Amino acid sequence: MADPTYVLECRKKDATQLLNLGEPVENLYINHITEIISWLFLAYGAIVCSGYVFSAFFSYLEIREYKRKNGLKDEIALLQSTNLPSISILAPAYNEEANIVENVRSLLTMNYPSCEIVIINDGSKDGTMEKLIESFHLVKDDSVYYNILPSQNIKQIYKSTFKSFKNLKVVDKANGGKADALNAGINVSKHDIICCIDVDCVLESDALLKLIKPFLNNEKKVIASGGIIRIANSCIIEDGKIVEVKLPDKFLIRAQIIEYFRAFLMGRMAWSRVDGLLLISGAFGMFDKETVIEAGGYNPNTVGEDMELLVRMRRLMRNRKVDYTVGFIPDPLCWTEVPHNWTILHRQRNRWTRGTAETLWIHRRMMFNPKYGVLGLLSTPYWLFFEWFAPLVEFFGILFFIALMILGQINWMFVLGFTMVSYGFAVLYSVTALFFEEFSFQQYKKTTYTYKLILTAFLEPIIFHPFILWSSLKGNIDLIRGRKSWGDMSRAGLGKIREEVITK
Amino acid sequence: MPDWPWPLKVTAFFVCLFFLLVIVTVSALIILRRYKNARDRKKKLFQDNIDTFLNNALFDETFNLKKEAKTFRFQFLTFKLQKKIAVRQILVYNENLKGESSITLKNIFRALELDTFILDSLKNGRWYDKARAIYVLSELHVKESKQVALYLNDKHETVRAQAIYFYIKTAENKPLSFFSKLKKELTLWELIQLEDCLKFVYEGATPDFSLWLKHELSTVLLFSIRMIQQFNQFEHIPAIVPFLDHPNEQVRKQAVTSLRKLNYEKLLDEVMPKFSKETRLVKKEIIKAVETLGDLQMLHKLKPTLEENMEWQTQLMYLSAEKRMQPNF
Amino acid sequence: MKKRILIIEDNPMVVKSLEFKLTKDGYDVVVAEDGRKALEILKEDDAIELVITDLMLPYITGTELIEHIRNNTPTMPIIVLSTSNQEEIITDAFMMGVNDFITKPFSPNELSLRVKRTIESH
Repeated sequence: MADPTYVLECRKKDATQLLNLGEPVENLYINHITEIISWLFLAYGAIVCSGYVFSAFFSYLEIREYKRKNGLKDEIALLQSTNLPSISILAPAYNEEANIVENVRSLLTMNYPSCEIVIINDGSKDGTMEKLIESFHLVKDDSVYYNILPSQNIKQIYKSTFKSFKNLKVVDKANGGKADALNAGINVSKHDIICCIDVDCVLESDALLKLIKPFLNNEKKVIASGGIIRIANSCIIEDGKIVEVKLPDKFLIRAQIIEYFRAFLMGRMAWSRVDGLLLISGAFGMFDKETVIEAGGYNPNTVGEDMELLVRMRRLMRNRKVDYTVGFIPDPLCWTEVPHNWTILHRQRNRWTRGTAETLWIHRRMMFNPKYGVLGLLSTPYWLFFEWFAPLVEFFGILFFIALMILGQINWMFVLGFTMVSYGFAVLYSVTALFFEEFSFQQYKKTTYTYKLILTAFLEPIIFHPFILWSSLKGNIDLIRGRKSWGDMSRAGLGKIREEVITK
Repeated sequence: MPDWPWPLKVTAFFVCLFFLLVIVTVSALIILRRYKNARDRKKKLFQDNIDTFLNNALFDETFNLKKEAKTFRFQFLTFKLQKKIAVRQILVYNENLKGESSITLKNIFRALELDTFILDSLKNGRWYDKARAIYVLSELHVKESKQVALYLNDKHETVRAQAIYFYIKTAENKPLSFFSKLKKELTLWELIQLEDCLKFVYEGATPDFSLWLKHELSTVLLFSIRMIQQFNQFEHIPAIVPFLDHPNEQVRKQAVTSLRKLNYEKLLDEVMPKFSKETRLVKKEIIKAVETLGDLQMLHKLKPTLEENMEWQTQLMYLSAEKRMQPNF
Repeated sequence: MKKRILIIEDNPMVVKSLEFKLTKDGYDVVVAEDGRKALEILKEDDAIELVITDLMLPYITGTELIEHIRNNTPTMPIIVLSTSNQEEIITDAFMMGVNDFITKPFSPNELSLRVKRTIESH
């Protein structure tokens, strides 16, 4: 969010006044520096605000168009159809003993005519594999696959002896992390379109049909499509389906709900409108397998593998000068549990920050590069300044403010004014996001929910935001500490892949 | 106030502006929510009304449709929202019922004068109203082909698509005759829908797909070649063969696929010599054809070409096919 | 005395129509939206003489429900009302011992006749 711009603004006038009174020369310096810094903060604040205004505007257009285009619900009939492209669903699992059987069962009831479900057991240390073998009557499967993408050793592939689970495939492999597991899944998968999901996600029954639709145009090549992620905490879920959407009582989760509204309904909708989307959430996204493989698959050396992959795929397409696009569906398709306590949330945000930073670092050549169009001139700079740097700027703003306070150069009127402006804007942005939710796909039906969400929007900048700020800062600190790992972030080049295909 | 320095004034202005906007948005939000809740209640009430009416009209033999419809119209069908809900409910019933009840439903639709309402929105509505109107007409088999023909080449994709589906859904025979009026390429999504409608909605005689093999749009060609295979029209195999040399790779690919699935025995003689010059897409399809129709020896003939061009996709395909074709596999 | 029929179906429109039509035909109609509720009703109410069920149901699928009914009250007549028209599913249903299979979209008049026939033959 916005930052200590206006605090410093005050210093300028103040300083001039001081100068006129004939201050000593060294103060002239300080005043000068203060003034420059103040202006920088002000400019930053202004850019952030106008960015938000634009994104609100574009999101509005995008949502309106989507609603108009998709008001008929005539696709449902297609679920019986036999000629839709086949999809491979890839779901990595690591130590999921407790829920794995239930989760896989709910995946198996997905409403789509032709799909295979590939569960990748990423070297779990608990009984995940045994549970799967037992519950789904798995036996060894010897069908052919090639390690076109590098991954840890695949120990065995399993299939079910039961007809009702004939679409299920389970890969047992050595542990290598989520990205590595997905790469193994890609190697084993049969179909040309892959859908990567978190195994514990709750999907709407027509989710796959909605996500595949963008692929089926014949104007532009679609390399990926993604949707809006919703928060499943407190919702009533039965047999892998959302039965009733409830607003959680916990402030922490409600604040995240508002955050998700802002990120998805305003942020990503707008980016999708200008075709500058850099991230399809790892929880649920569909990809063109060939492009994924050509780009080298998931990068196991970053914590932000979902963002990094999409950026790399886009970069590849751009370098090849292929006309392509990335689809985005504003319907609520995927529900996921978000962190319900501060510790886990801290860890998650810490990771997100590192993921963003790593991706931007790997692809730093795209930054401000007109060759990459919207991506180079808008998306990457946006992520740099407003996602990665925002917490830093905010933090330094606070430091600056403290410094001024120590120097005794604070005009409290301005402090008050500034605080009110940034607070006002933060709340305005949140309630606009709430309004968009109301306007688009309203999921929280009760009027009391609306009141509670509004209240949360007012409290969020005071209680929730400072914590997020701290988590992001910590992420940056960890990043600098572990900087070495940046060096060996080499990606699997296509040359290597070719070699593997040929030698095998 | 007047003696404030200007930055403070700017700040104050923005504080006021933001808080004003917050108040406006919050009130709009609350009003909208309450309005929607109230509307939902009304909708539900009205839905019950129309449900009762429909069930009576469908299953009560003593029901006088003409008279009752008139009363219902005056009592419950005055607002646009009510008409919309009535149409929606009729569509739901239409989807689940067949036989006599389905015919009765169409009579009810007319008796309630909802057809005039729909035709009006087709003529005067915005593009999304038009799309919806065409959709309703096609679902309820209201024949307005002349009206709908205007939208076959509409600039809005959604309207265009609905117009296309309309022709197939309402046709008694020759469901594809609208192809002759088509000037824009069909999307893959539309092709899927068309195939679906042909297989599951259209009930007339299966059309002769070879009629459209001279069409100027390549997606129509693609569709026809695919359909000849899907409906097993073996007699048109000779008509497909020339498309193995079509300039569009998608068409060539579809020709290979269809001929493979139709078990055309000369397919391999035709395509194997072309292999080295083909695009990646078609190459993959040829490998598949060799796997199903040929033997390991034939497959090995393709190897030199593969080693020349380093395409991993085709190579992967080749290697998998080879492994599957091993006698001991 | 009126014969009592249990309908297990989650589509409100279909429920309403069936209820309306079968009540008109002179039956006593009980409705369950899902398999779980259906089992409860079957446990408590032994006046039920026919079950009409969908196959795709929340909580407990139609197939499981049919198996359960067959195990507990083997003579209870069952009619399946389902959107699926795949041969495999239909034969599977008959193998499990259902008395009739009607596909959606359905004709209410035909359904009414089949209900009558099924009840009479028991």
